[in-house]
Amino acid sequence: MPTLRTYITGFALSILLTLTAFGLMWMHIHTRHVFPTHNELAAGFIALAILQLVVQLICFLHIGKKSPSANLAMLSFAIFIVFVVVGGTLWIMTNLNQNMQLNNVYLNGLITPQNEND
Amino acid sequence: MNRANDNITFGFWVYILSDCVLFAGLFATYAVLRGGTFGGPTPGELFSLPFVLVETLLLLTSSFTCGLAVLASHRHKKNWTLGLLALTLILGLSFVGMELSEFSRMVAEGHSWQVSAFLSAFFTLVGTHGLHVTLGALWMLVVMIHIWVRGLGAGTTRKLFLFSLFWHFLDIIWIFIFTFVYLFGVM
Repeated sequence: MPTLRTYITGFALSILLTLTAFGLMWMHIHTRHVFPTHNELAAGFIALAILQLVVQLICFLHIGKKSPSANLAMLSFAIFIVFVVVGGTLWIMTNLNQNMQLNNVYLNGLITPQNEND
Repeated sequence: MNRANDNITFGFWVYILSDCVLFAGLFATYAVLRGGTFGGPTPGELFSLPFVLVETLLLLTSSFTCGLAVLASHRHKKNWTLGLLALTLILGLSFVGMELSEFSRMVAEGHSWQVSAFLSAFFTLVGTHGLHVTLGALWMLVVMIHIWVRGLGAGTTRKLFLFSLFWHFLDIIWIFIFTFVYLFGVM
C-alpha cells in the first residue's frame, strides 16, 4: 500500500532532479559553454531524465517488488519496444542521411522558401 | 469483484503502455525532423526555458496532488479527495493554458506547423501530449462528479485509481518532452 511518505519522497526527488537539469543548463549557458561541456550536458540530461522516470515509476505508479509481476513484465516489454522503435529509427535515418546527400538540393539554392510552392 | 478489478487494472495498464509506444513513434519522428527548420529559427530561438520550467513544475505538482487524492480516497475522506482533485485540475488546466499560449505565440510569429518539418514534428509531439492532458482534465472532472454524487465506494475508488495511473503517465511523458525537446533544443 502506498503511503504519504512514498508520494512526498517521489515529489521531492522529482523536483530535485528537474531543478538539477535546468540548473545544469543554466550553468552551461552562463559559463559560455565551458561547464558542463556539450557532451557532459547531454549525458547529464539523459541520466536525470531516466532517474526521474524511475523515481516516478516507483513512487507514483508503484512499480516494484510488491506490484503484480505482470506489470513489471509488461513495462519491460514496452520499454524494449520503445528502444527498438526510437533506436532503430535514429539508426536508419542517420545512415540514410549520411549516405544519400539529400541536402544538396536545398544547399545549392535550388529550393528556397520563395519557390517551394511552385 | 476483486478479480474483475484486477483484470480492469491490467487492461488499463496495457493501454497506458500502448500509449507509450505511440509517443515513442512521435519522439522518433521529432528526433529525425528536428534539424529540418527550412531556414527558419532553431529550437533554441523559439523556446523559453523559464516558461518550460514553470510548466514542468505545474504538471509535476498536479501529479503529486493526484497521488494524495488517491491516498485520501483509500482513507474514505471524500472532502479531502475532492479538494485535492480540484487542486490537481487547476494545476493541470494551468499547464494547458500555458502551453496554448506558447503555441499561439509561435503561430502568431509565423512559426506554425505548416512552415517546416521541425515545427510539424514539434506541434504533433507536444500537441498530442497537451491533448492527452486536456482530455485527462475532462476525465478528472467526470470522476470528481462521480465521487461527489455517489461517494467513495469500490467503483468510484477504482475509477479514481485508473485515472491517477493516466495522470502520472502524462507527467512521465512530459519528463521526456522537456528533456529531449526543450533542453536539447536550447543546448
